[in-house]
Amino acid sequence: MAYSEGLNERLKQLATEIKQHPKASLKRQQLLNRLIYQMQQSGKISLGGEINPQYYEDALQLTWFWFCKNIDNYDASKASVITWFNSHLKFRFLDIREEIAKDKKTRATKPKNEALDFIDPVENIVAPEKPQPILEETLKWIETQGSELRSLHVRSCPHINCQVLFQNKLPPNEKTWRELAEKFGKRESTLNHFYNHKCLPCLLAFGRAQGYIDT
Amino acid sequence: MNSTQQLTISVPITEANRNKAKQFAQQQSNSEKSLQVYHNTLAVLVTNNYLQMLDVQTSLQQSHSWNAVVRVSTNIADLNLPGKGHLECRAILKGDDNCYFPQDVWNNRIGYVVVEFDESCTQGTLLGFLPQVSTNTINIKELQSLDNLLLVLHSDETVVQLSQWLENIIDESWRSVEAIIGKKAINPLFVFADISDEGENSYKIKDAVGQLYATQNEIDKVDSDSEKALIHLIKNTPNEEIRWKAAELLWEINPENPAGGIRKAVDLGMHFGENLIALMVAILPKPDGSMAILIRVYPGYNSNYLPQGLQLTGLDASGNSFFTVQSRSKDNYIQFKFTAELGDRFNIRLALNDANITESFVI
Repeated sequence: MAYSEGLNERLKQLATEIKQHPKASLKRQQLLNRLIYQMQQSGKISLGGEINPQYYEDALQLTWFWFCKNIDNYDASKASVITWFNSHLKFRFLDIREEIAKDKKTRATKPKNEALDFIDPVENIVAPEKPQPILEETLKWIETQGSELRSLHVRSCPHINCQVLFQNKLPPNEKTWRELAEKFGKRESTLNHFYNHKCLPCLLAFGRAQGYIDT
Repeated sequence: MNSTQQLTISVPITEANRNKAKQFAQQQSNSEKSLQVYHNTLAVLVTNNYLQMLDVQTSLQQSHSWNAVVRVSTNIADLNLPGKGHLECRAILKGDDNCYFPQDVWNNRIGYVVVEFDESCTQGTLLGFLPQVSTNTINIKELQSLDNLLLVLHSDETVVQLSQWLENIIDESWRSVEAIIGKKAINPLFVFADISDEGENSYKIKDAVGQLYATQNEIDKVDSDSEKALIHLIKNTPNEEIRWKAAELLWEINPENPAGGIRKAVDLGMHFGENLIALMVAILPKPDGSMAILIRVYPGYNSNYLPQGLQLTGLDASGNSFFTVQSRSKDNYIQFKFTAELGDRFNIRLALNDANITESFVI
């Protein structure tokens, strides 16, 4: 109990000090970092109890965003920082429970693999057997834009150009920088520098032109 | 929790985050690459959520890792911070001690964070930060505190933007040289001269202008008026030393004349106990568009000599020193001159015994 009182006091002090620094200032961010760390280390943040674990992270993330945004409204005379945080988290659980209830009424069945997805998301990542259209299109672009891509090359080495490097860096024939350094008789750093400054911008521009920017 | 006692922050990974990572992973051509993209995407999303919590502006859309063509081509996990650059977010799995940094991401980064995932990927933990990387694997024990990331993100705020000086945008801590060190010791050519007499002063300057022209043979003196003759020399001489000497004389006649570039001084006395020290920076645009820079350290208000052993060092953007000058007994000032291009960054460090102060500049 004594430990807990000490902790609550420390968190209150930190929260009160944070308020004194302007938003997005270095000092405020450093103090906020410390406060979040100590709250997480305390082991006192609610674990959700009955809530479906699938929705716990959503509620927790929303609560962290709210907490950091509204820390200026924290009143140390009314509650400890952890209590303030947990009560908001609890309301997010209730929101989610309500939404699910509503959802059940309007939807007859739920997608049945949802629970499975959650248990082991990594297992569920199955790559298709054929290369995806994005890669196919990119490889095609590398061939059709040959003369343009070949015009960008390492100084006085026209054979080490963007097209050749793309052919050697993209799947399915990707090689390591060390292999390429041996193949071309150039330092790894030289090739890498050239790739980052000349080749990568071409890829970025092609991706943008194709509309392959996610939102 | 990892074994180091460093400050770490855990960020929940929502189902929407995992779905986004899965969507990106399924665009890949084999399962190894899919898993790599899955972890890269989650590391970027976790870092993005963390920085949003701290009120740091981020842009997923400006991140290379959000470009599908780049994702299929490169092992990349960058997050763009508008106006600052790209932060690389590398993933490791719980229990691993070493984090992998592909060579493709060793350059063009403002820094690196390492994000640790639990088995179910419901939570990502930011373990720490590195300002630079030049090796494939790094043990997580070598990571620096996340506080250092915050320092890097804020480092620009205290950088003095010298090109803005030319547009007269100057922070008020930088003031006229006269205000900081008093009139007397401004021009090294006149350090010991009594320049109180207006007429005698103008005669001495005329004399000095004549002598300056005589020390070179590229430019002919076309004007008998001292001010005009100096401007002509500043604009036309190919010789850096001559240009600076002409500028210094021009400062003496007409400190406001734009042909003399701009010079400002800051009082650094508070950092060095009882020693009064002032740093002067002058910039002089050169005909080829680059900037001649003069860094000079004076004793502060009304004192004649610098403390002995005061060290003036110039550091480039990577922290390598490109000059060091040290004061001897009875130095009236110490200085260094160099040329820089628009956008160049450098730091000036002044050190005396245990005390030191670093000022950051960008042209």
